Amino acid sequence: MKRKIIYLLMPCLLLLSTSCNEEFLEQTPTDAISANDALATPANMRLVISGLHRLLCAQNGTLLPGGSNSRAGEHFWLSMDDALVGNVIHSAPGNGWLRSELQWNTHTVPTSLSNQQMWYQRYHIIASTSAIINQVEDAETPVDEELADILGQAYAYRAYAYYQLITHYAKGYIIGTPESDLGVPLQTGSEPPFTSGPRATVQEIYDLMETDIDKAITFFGEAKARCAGSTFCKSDLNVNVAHGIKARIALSSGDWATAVSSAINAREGFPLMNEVQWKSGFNTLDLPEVIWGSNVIDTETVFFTSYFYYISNTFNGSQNRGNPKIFNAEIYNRIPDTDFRKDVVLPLAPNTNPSANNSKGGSVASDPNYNDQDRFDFVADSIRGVYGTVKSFNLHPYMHYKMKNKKPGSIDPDDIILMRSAEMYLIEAEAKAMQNDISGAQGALQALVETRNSAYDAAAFATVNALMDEIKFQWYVEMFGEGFGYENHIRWDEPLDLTDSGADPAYYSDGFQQDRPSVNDKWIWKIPQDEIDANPNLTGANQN
Amino acid sequence: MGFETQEVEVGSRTTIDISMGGAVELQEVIVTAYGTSNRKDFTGSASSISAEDFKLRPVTNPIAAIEGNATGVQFINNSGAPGSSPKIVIRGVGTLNGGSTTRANGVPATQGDPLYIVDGVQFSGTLSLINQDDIESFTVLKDAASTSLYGSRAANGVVIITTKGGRKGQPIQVNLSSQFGWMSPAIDQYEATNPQQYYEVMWEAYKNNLATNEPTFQSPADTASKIIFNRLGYNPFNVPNDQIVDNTGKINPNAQVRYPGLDWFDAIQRQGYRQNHTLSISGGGENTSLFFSTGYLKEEGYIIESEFERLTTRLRVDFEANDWLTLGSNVNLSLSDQGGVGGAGSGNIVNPFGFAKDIGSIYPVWVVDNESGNFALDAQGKRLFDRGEGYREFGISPRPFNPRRHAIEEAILNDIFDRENGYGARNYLDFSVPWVEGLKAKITYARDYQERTLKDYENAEVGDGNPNPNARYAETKSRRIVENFNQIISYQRTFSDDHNFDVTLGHEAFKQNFSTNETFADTQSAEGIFEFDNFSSPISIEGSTFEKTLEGYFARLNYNYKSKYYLSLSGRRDGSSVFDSDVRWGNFYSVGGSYRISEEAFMSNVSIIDDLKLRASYGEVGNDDLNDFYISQARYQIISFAGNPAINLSDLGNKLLTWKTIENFDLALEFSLFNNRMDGTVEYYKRNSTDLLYNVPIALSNGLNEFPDNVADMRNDGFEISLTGRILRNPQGLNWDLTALATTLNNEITSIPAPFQNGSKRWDVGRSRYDFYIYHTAGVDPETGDQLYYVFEDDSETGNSVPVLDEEGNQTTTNDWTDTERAFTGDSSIPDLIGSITNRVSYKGLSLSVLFAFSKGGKVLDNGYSAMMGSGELGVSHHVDQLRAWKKPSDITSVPRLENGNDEQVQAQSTRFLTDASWMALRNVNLSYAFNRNIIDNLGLNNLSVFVSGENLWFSAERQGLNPQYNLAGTGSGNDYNPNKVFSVGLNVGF
Repeated sequence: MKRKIIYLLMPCLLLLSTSCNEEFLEQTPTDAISANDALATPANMRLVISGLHRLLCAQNGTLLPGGSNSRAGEHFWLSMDDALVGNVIHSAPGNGWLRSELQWNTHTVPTSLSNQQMWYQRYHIIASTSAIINQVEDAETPVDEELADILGQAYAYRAYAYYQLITHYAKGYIIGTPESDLGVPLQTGSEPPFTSGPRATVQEIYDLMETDIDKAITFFGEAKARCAGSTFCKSDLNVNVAHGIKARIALSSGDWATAVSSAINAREGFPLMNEVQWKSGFNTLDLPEVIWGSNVIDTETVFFTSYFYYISNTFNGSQNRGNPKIFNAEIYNRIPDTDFRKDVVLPLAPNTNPSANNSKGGSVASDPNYNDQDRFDFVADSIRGVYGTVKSFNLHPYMHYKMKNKKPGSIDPDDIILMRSAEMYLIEAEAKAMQNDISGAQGALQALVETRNSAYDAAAFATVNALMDEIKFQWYVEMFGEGFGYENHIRWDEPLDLTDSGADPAYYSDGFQQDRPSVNDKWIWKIPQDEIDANPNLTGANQN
Repeated sequence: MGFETQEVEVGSRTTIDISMGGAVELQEVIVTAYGTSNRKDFTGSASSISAEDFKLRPVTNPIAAIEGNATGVQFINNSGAPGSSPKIVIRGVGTLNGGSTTRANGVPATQGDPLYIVDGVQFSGTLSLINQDDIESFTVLKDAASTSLYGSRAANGVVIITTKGGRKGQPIQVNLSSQFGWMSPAIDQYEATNPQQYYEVMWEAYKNNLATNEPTFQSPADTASKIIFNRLGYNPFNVPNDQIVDNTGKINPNAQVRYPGLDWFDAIQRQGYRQNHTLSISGGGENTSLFFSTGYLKEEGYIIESEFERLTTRLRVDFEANDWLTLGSNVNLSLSDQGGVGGAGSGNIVNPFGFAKDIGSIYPVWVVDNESGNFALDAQGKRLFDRGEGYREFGISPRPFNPRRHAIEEAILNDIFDRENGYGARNYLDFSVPWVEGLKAKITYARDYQERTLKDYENAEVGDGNPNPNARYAETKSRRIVENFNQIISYQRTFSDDHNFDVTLGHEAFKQNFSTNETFADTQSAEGIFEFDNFSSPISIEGSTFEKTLEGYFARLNYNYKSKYYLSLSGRRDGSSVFDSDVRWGNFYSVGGSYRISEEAFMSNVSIIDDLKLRASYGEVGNDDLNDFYISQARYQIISFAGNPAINLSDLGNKLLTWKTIENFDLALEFSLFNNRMDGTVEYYKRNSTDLLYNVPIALSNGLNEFPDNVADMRNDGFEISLTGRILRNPQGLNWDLTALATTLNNEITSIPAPFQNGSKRWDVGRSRYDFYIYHTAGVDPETGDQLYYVFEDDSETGNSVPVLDEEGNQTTTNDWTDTERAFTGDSSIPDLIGSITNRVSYKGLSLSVLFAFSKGGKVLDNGYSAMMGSGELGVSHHVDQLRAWKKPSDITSVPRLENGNDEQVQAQSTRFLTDASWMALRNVNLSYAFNRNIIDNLGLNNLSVFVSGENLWFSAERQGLNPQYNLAGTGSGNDYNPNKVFSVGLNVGF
């Protein structure tokens, strides 16, 4: 009987022995840390800020659920803002990147990927920084110089993100009625049930940006100084960056006095570049006048979705080889010969590209600038030799070599400059001109442009109109390709007209001519359909 | 009741013929959850398929053989790539996430798939690792009574696969089967314009662009005729470049194509070939039984570079140690190599299907010397792939379509290899306690390994690896370990002759561990070496491990009275690591009953009825699968910035997230009539899914786009009818059987907090999961050629859109789709009826079977078609329907004015591209001959048969090119590896 019982018990015992405790069911990931830990210490919060630095220049597809690899943060947005208004002109269809954008078939379409990703990526910055801000507030953590730096960056980042949103998805502040114009949802934290809000007014968003950026400046005042010595240090936001963002906000809203003072504060300690530096290719944050930028290293490459892929004629991608980017010919012809910036544009580069939009490419037979094949080939080869490219790189008249890869003819990633002193001089000049401070504006212009053109005399521009024409011209020549084209058009209420620029009307289609932003809402980006679909406080009736 | 003879080892086989008291009666034994059952005693809903049903079908993935043999099962055939697996869905999609692969955290997506049980334990992984010749049977379990013992994993139904075993006392038997087959595409391509038509279409599109954007031009038509060649770059005709199309848009009548090599599909296709051989040995001694098999399969797909090779070995041994203990093991090894082409089915530029489909018909695959009109040759006399970069030496301009790319050349030069090795063992101890009649216990421990190496080399000649960084190479290594440990006690007893009890108690622990390493580097030193030593510059290294555990306790009671009244009760309690500790345990149960009416005395007079059974079941099963093992946890993903540590808010988590439950109701009548000449089942099913797990799309202004939650309820219901007629039983041996299967599908969302937009669908109460919500086209304006759209506006009350009416009550229209909203169309992608018809005719040793499968109803949004109906992007292909485009005022047509660069004319997400999803296919025809005894005996064999077979011989759908079975959502893009047509011959020898 005993034996029987043993036999009976055996399986029962086995059954019991494998009964598990709750620990068997506790699993934690190895590719992530918990949200609580992420905000538990200032050291961890700094990791979150560093994560935002990365998102600004990363293929988002692997970083954000529903992110996109092709809209790789500022790599894309800077290139796009200049493509939209024909600042950087595409000379041929190439492989098609940005074509839909420059034809105005993207930002006018609520379902377009660019619309959705720009919105999403900016709001991700807002959610991440708000989480830090709210955590410090809720926990009443004492603010030391480390935490002050983190909070300064969080507030500045949030202001920056809202600035990008409001300047794209709403009517321009100066040309609109900010008190009643609809802006974007005002979010300062994301919590269940994640309904988000309706569109706040443009004014409400500006109020938040202004509060945020002032807080950032205050915190930076108590913070330890930004690190120095490594290229990546300039990816951190600091007090200068905060002043620069403040200057942009002020300029875009017509707060000229603030724009002036903030611009001056922002550029403190970042001297203008000399000719050698200016012609070095805009490929590193190490340039002295860079205040802020994204440091992109080889192991964090975005491959064929990088800023230099879209913008630099020395990047070894089919985007550039088959579609050399050109400078506006009309503006080029206004640059005095004494201005060294003229040197980076090649108006007589042979048109080697048979699929060039102007139908003048391919050979000496079609290129009116040449009548001798040997000469045509010789010039083409010499240009390629000088700029380190090879035969597969097509050339086109008015192509530019402002942006040049550190390693020409490669696909190596290069840094993205997000803020530099020249912009601050231009902001100062414009804001002073708008205040009728003619001599002040002349002074700011003189300080900037004389470093580019030894013969420059700003005194030649004696009226506000003449000054503004000159300032607009300088914005183009100095900041070409750096992503300011779109916002400038809105602020200046300037129509889009690419006649005589070198752009092909058939290719540019809707992107060739557009009426001024104040009377033409096509300038306003459509709210992404995904936002309207998922936000109970928004319907198609709230669309731009 | 007679079936107590324990000598018959039922654990491994499904169909056993047993003689009972002289009268021959077929007792079908089916494999069920943690056990087996006689078909007649089974109270649940199951379709079972035995080796006989599929042994002659040349399919590489065993589950393909379910089609035509089970009701309620929908097939998704999205790829014919060698080694690929079809997906099945049982009784409609019960999940919102079905089929979608969200951001993969390394773990392959499984949502919507049924639970696969192989030899008693869960199998996670690639089913094509299993040799179909090793399979004894499939059982598809569909209702609550049959699945609830699997509790939380049974939400999508269960497929039990049982492999072969030996038999005690059986002499050694050797079986060899060999098949050879030839493969070609089963679905033709969309009809593209020929080069002449292409030029006319592009001329029209470009002329209209000029007319719109350069109104100052004197004559857009003259200009277009003059420079259309410059825009397209290629002139494959024998007429001058500026005389290809005249200024009325007509092709020059003298234009003859003189360029060779314009057919891109021709250049990637070849004659596919497959062979499959299996050698198996089975037998048994007094106390042992044994089964051994080894198989070799090789497929060379009909697309260049695609191949699959598999070597399998399986060994099963069972030992009867003494009268109370049996133990054994089933060990398997499977080594497979799959080579293929990159990007299939995606918009990726390296997708050769997309490239071939999308490129205009005037561009040659290889460089043509414009002077001679022949292929240009290199120094070795070889053709050069035309990368579209312009070849001045041969008078060839750049191509506007994907310049400097060539998906076919890249497919050849790149090297994509997927090596998957699976090995596993199931070891068991089986106690039967001789002192307590009917009491048994079984302990099973199983561990499956799958190791996978995915190699992806991008060449240095053309594409993303060219010319700098000079080739790149990525390798992903992953390992999945699945452990199952279960202990089962069962007790079977008959009291007072009439009361039959069968009780099962069990416990199960399950653990899945998935780890992955991904490395990426560039700059090769030598050609042809696909290892990291050969790549000097590392780009990235990533790796992580994911683990999921599950524990369950279960019990089942089966009772029947006189084999007439049956009752089955099951319960299971499961805990899952996916959920937070407070909500991780879920309870699942079922109640089933059946009534064998034919056993009643009053039925004995009804001679036409041989068997009649009414059964019903109800119960709840569950699901924890949202494709993320840690979904309930809020997380910051670990990343880097400029080589420094960094983290990023990546997942919102939800501590309250818990089990989705599915209530299953099933009612069926099973019958066998006219002396068993006809039998069948009529069945009604209803599945109510509640608390559906879903990554709810949230407003992007939250900074993340989704939040996991239990959000909605949904119902799937329908009827399943299965009828088999033994129509002809001729004394000379001519037999004809006909089997018809039909299933209706109906899906409805019964609760949802707010409507969700999901791509081309919108989820709302009263709508199905697959209801189209897209723009409504309103024809083409005869005056302008503009595409018109019906105007809808968002209704803030319902959250859906409503028509905008004019004063007369007619819906207004617009020519700009951004001025309107999407709206429900009243269509869904769900078919009304799916089914099959099988005819089996046999005469002596000769048998012929013909299987038709069909699907009726539902719509697809034909993205493959709309991509060829664009407004005229330079270099992109056009469908022949573009020839009907509007050209001048008062043209009445459904194809709007072509205008290069104008996006408003064509909206792919519109009713214009909704297409009937019905299809019919001749899935399989099989003719076999089994040699008669005399011949076999003379040859010294046990059996000998030969066959010829054809898979997918004929296919018909609404439009040529369309594969309506591509996915459930009806949104295929027509740029994937189409399913195969296979013709094969085979041989089976036993000795």
